[in-house]
Amino acid sequence: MFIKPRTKKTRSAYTLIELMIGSTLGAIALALVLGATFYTGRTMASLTDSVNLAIQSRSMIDRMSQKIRQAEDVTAFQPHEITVVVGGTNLTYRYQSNTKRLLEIENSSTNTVLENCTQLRFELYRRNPITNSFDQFPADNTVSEAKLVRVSWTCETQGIGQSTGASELVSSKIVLRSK
Amino acid sequence: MLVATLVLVAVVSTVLVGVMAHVSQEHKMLARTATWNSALPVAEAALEEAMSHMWWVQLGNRAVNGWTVSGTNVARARYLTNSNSRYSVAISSAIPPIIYSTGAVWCASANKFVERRIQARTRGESYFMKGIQAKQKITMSGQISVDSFHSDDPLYSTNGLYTASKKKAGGDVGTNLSTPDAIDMGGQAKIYGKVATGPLGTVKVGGQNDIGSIAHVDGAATGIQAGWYTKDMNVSHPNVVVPTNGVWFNLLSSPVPQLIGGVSYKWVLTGGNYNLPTLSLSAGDKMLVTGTAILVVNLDMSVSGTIILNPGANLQIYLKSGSISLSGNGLRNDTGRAYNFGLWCLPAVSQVNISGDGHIVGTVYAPSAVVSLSGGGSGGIDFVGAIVGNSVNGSGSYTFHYDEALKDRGMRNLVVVNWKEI
Repeated sequence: MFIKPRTKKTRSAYTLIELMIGSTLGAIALALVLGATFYTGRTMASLTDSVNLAIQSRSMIDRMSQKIRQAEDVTAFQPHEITVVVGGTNLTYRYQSNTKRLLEIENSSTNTVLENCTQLRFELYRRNPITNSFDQFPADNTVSEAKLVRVSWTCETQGIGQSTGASELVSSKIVLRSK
Repeated sequence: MLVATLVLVAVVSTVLVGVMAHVSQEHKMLARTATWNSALPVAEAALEEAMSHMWWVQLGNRAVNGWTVSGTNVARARYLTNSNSRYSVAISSAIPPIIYSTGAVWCASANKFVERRIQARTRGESYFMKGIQAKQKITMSGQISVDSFHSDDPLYSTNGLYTASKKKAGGDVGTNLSTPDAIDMGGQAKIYGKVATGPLGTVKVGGQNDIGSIAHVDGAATGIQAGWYTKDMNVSHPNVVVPTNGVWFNLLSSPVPQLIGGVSYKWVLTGGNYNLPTLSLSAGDKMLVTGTAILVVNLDMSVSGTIILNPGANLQIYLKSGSISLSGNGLRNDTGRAYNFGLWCLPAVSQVNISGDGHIVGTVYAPSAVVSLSGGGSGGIDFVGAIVGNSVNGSGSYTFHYDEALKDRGMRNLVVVNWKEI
């Protein structure tokens, strides 16, 4: 029996050019994967921030409107702070621009109810409607004449490699039903 | 390449699933929030229906017009036209009543109704919450003064009567008018009480006018005391509706006088409901009221004689059209209480003139008429009670004393005074 040995001629290696082309294609593919991963990661982070901001802001405006609507009176007011009386108890909302937080102070208990808040403003309005509009006359900061409270804020997050990320703008007019 | 492609596809797929999950979550959250918020107007619609129902039936049976008895309450439930929302509302039997209202809106993402429930406490609020109220301009001149007392509180009255030493600074004057000089004060007019106008209104005061507390008005300071003027007056003055229930008697315009205790009376109202084409009492004529009476007059009321209310009597006059002239000693209210005499003017009444130096104890509700107070005597008491007019003009040396007991008496509107979510 005779077995023909395999020759080295059929097992030729990559040429240098083949290796360079292959390496280049691999690098391009890896770069694409990494780029896509980074980009989608950033998009995901932004989207997550956006959703979290929306949830935070909407749940807060729901909570705030529910409480202020039941208030019997406004006892103190500044554009960044308001105190109302709910069920005989003082309830204060105070915005701290340095920490970008909104605090809720009730029964000597202070809670942070909003974070990443870049601007917040309260306004007071009288009960009198302006003719041919849905607006009311401003109360000119006179708490005794306040019947409506308008609150507006903007919440923003810091994006990856960007100055700003997601943002959420909220504005609402709340009627004091018990006043 | 295959491995790279698989990795890429896996990454993109993971991201897509994540994005879709987030978007879905946000959608559900938004839908839930929108539904939760829209449930509140539905609950408030129920509250409005309950308030309208109580206004409609007044003190009558509330279990009518679709409302049914439910335990000690009367209740009603409705599906709104789009069938995606419904409400149920109950009015308690308490006095004043408490309203419980539930609004529900269908939330498709949660596959159920989202409900919100509110409780509203009410209070009967008098038509006379201030001494003088108007829809339009209020003018005061001469030496007219306005203050208050409380006929049910011995600290602020003597046997229910006004006493100058017990006066209060509750003689509030207000108008809905929202233009400059909505309240125009001249002469030496003074108000022991607060003033109110619409948001763009102003109060014109001269150098000898005072508005504020007793210490302010009686002191050296002049003008409006700080904190005694508000610019948010927004009061509804509904039209008068003539009562129709009960048995009615038609009086003659020129009846045979009745002699009681040696005194001749043109009319004697012993109690009940009366109709009269025109009420005219010339000087020397007298009308005697001995019980609780309602008198409906079709056209004009001119009194230079005297309407006399015996102790324990109550007279409410409804004038359908024309004008009122009350002069001299036009009214002698021996009950001493303003809520025992009322002049109620329907929209067709355009003028109410009250003059002379009489001691008028009563109320005037004329939201479509010009009400003029003039003259005034030296006794220091010219009008005790309250006035509502379209516009009000006061002059002479008229002294006006608002009886704060009227806040808790007489014809009333139910208003919500406390609202909370439960």
